[in-house]
Amino acid sequence: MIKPNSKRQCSMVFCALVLITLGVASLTEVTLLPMFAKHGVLECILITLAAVKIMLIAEYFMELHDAPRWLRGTMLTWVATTTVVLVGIVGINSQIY
Amino acid sequence: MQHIDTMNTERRVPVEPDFWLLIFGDLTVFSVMFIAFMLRRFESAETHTVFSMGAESLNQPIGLTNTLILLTSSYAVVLALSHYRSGDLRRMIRSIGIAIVCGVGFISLKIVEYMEKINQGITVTEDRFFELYFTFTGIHLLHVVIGISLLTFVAYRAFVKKQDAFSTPGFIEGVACYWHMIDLLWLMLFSLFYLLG
Repeated sequence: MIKPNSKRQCSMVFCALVLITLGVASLTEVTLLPMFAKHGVLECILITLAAVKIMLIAEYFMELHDAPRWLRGTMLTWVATTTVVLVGIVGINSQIY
Repeated sequence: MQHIDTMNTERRVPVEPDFWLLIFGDLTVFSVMFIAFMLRRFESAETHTVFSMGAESLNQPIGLTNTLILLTSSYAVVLALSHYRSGDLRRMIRSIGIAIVCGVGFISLKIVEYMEKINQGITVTEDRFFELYFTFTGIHLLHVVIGISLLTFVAYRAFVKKQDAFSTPGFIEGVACYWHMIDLLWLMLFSLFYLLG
């Protein structure tokens, strides 16, 4: 038989995704971190957390954790490249604006 | 179901390898869109302000609800695939039904959001933020419609043809992966449009 993601594992990932989403949404509502926001740190955190959620979905829901290296690597490269470029743009420009 | 027995515990490519070309092609297009969004946001002090105000004017509760709806639908698709592999087509159809309902819910809320903006006189020509907002979320919405159609087709075939519905699991896995891709793209869209403001 295939080695599928166990339902328990996927349920835990689903709960983690929901919790991160709710946490991120409340993070933007709370103004406890204006200092971070000013320097673009909060924006970088938000983008990075979105990337973490994307990797969780890719690894467990799309079943890439059992896939060959080239496939996992391609997905990881896509996520990492997109995240680094977005965070880089924020990092460079938040000093200006 | 014979095909289930042919699967093994070796490292395997979920879905047909060719299908991943489609997935990564789509992901690359969206990556370019995400980067274009961010570059435009920081084009000048004026666009930065326009983007911040645009994000703040969006309906965040609807955006958050839509995110949770898509996550739930993805989880339902995971369960559907699991039921398919264990040969329980009835539960599989039920899980796909939940995913379809979630998808329709997502579209409904998106239409409510669009109407809200249009009633406020905000359209695609309003400013740079809303130009990108309507374009990107519109393209994503089109993906959701395609995804729902595919899920409906899978459920229909499983319902009508029962055990003979699919000769290989490739098609169902492909539809599942496509749906998860829609979900993960929305996670980034949600962060960029709704949260970064």
